Amino acid sequence: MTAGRLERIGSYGVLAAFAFLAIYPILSILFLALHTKTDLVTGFAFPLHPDLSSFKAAWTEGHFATGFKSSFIVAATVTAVSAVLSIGTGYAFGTMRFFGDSILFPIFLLGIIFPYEATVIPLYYDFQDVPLLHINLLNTYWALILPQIGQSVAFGTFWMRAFFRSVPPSLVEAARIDGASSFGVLWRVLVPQARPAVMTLSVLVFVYTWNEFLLALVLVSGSESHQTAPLGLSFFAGAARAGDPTKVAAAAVLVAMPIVFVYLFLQRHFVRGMLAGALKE
Amino acid sequence: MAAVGSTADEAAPGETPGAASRRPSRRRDRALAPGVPRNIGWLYVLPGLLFYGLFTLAPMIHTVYYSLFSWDGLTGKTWVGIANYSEAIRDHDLIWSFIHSGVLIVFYAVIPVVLGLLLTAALTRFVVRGFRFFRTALFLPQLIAGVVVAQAWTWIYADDGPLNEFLRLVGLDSWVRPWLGDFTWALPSLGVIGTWVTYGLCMVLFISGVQKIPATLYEAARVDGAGPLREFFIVTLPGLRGEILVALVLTTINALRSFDIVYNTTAGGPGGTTLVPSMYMYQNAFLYNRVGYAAAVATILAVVIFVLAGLVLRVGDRSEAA
Amino acid sequence: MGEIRLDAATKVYANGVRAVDSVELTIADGEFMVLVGPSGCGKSTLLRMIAGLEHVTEGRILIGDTDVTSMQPRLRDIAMVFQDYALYPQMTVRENLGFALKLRRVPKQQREARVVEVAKILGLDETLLDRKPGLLSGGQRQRVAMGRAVVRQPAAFLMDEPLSNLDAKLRAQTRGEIKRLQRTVNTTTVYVTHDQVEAMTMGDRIAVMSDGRIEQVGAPDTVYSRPANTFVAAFIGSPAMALVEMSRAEGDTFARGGLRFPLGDIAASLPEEIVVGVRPELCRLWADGADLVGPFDGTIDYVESLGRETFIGVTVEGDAGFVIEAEGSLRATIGETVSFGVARRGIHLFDGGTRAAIATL
Repeated sequence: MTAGRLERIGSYGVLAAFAFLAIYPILSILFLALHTKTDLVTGFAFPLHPDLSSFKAAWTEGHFATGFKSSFIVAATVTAVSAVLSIGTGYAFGTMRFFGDSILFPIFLLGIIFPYEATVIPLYYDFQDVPLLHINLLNTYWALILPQIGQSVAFGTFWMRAFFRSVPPSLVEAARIDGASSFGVLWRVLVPQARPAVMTLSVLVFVYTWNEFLLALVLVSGSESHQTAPLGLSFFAGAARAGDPTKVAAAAVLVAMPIVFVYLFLQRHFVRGMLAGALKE
Repeated sequence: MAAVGSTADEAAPGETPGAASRRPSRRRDRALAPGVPRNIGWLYVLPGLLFYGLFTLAPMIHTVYYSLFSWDGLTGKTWVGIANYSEAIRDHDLIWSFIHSGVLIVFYAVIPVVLGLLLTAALTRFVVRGFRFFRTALFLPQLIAGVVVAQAWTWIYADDGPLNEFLRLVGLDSWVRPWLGDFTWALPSLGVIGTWVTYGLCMVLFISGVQKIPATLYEAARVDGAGPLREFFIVTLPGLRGEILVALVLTTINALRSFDIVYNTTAGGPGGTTLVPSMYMYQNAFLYNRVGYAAAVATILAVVIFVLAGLVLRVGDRSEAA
Repeated sequence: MGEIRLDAATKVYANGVRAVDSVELTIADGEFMVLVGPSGCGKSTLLRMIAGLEHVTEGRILIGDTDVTSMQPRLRDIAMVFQDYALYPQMTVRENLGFALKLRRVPKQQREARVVEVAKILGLDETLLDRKPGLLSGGQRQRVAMGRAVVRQPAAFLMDEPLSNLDAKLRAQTRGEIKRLQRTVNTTTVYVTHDQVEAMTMGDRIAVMSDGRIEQVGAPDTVYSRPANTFVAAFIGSPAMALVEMSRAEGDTFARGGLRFPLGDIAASLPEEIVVGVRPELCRLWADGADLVGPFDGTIDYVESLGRETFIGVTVEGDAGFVIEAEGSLRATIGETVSFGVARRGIHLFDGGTRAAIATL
């Protein structure tokens, strides 16, 4: 494969440029955030004297301690529950044939492209006065957790089914001959092998849930102690931007940080998820 | 089903004993081996189905239900049948919001896919070393929360932000403007944000996809005398069919669900030039108190998303069979 | 106790294909039965029906005296060795071997003892017991797969082409070991293979299958020396038997084109169209005085010199193919003509229409 030296350099250059552009916007608010409120900040704003005061201000004034706590509670719960449920549904669709399975699976697939826009209105009104139970779930963690489990299970089913179908059938048959029940096969033979798939699923669901905005805006705006970090940022930015852009920039960086860290440490899971999904489509 | 099975196991009068098992089985289930988990599959599916059904499917149906009423969210509902829909198709604001979405789709889906393909074409001729490093950076935009993206780009587009400073630097002062507040340029500006969000995904998808194309195909093409352009159309493009399809579906859906970014940058302004259907729905439901109408808008949006996704997949299937 | 009986066992797929067509077979307790045939003949399907991994459309399957036709695999008291071994990847060899016993709640001490015992029987070194399958060689994995079956002491072993993933040398070596093992534990075994050499060397009896039916069942030498039809005749034996269609000519002679084949007294009772079957060992280079039918002139198509003998493929009269067996290494050129004859005793005669065996001279 001979490509001219020039061609190589050119291509690398283009690739590098695109990679830089991809991170530039985050860099730019990071730079902005490293200034103090009184700096006259314009343009490229490279921080010659990095200062963390904006971060401190943002953290306390934006109540991000609560925001992060809320985000974490919601995201962790949704991830854990969805993972478990998806293992079950994926196992069923991936290794068994049962009445109605060919109609039911496409219904699950629908959930992957389902917009929250389509369900947020009834959720708002039904959570206010839950049918049969007559309690108000609005402005609680449940309001965010329950619908997101629902949608995550749709993707999770697709994902885990793909995994279960990739297991050689002879393995399942051998276990059945050895005497394992359907649960035994799942628990003793398949789940130990499913760790990478479940990891990737969990990582994707966690990030998706952490970043979710519309649901939070509609369902928990009324209670500051239940607001998720992205929602908190939105309110904070709306109020404070005119006065102090560096504080808002700091807040934005704070909200993005956890995911960026998780990403940097668990990269391969993300990438595997995004790319493998392509093949299975 | 058990009942059917047991009657089939007994010999009919007049048949010799044992004949029953030699008769073809009349079970209507699909001839599964003995002991293969059958309807126990339902037990495994039920919990997940419960959440999905209760909190995703049921609300969708409920939305459609609301769309048949005129309602302000507080007082009683009034049945109006499809009046909301007939109003919707005549609603200029709504129509324009879909047109705006269409523009966004071009920025979110078409441009990034083309960019991705171009870059991939340039890179197929040799192995990219250290790609993992680039990949880390390229993927990042997909993972940043929409609200954060909004803040970052609001800054970039600000009057005294990096973009305008850059323009001044290179002497293009006449191009400096309040991007997100400009009647003509607000929508394209949002579009560029969209391109930024998705182009990395496309690139990574395609570059990895290309690595799965057997090198022998390229060699065969080269031996046959194909130049780089032909190579691209004959080997690379067909080989990436699956990836392109997925990229189109993912990015199109991204475009149609851009609520986070729109709400936190322009909120539909200035003057409605960046109004998108999801934003319009939100406004109707929670600001104008037209819940029934908002539900209709939501339903239309959902249908459009499903149809588009279905179309893209169908086109993909058909061109594969061709 | 370990007798297996197939009573008109049939499997029809949804698209109408009869993978297994009304098979009748009885396998005696302790017998090593080989199911052999080309790809798609239904041998694996039949094995899986005995295991309970395939639904039986019609007919019955009995193990011992029990009708197991609709019974789950785990209740049938059978153990299976899969072609890809199907070892549980995240369990150690020890755990793989003990899995079935663990499921049956055999106490740990007993389980351990049995696992160690089986490892010894199979020649698996103790150090391997705590490794995972991924770290074993192909041959070692194959033994573990067999061990997993032996551990259970079932009524029957079912083996689905267990040697096909091994290289040729290992295959030959393991063949003998499996046979010896089976003799030691004396368990009924049903063994599926497409390799007729495996079938001939391992089976107490072999069942040759084609298109879902059993063409012939019998001891290896019976099937070899008295094939029931042309399919079995051509399938068993290597190089394959030469089959030449002939029609009655004049007197006791049958002919094909210019090739004339006198058959003696028996010719009178033969139908008009027959197929003559001749194994390579009956075709010898022409030597005057030898008791041979011929001479025939064959054009050489190929020469396979194997050191101890040489096989020469020839064509007579343009389209009748024979394979001549000659001793030692012989040099011959493709395209040359060579004279050969056929020993009279041992020639097989088949009906030209039904392809069934008529007689062996």
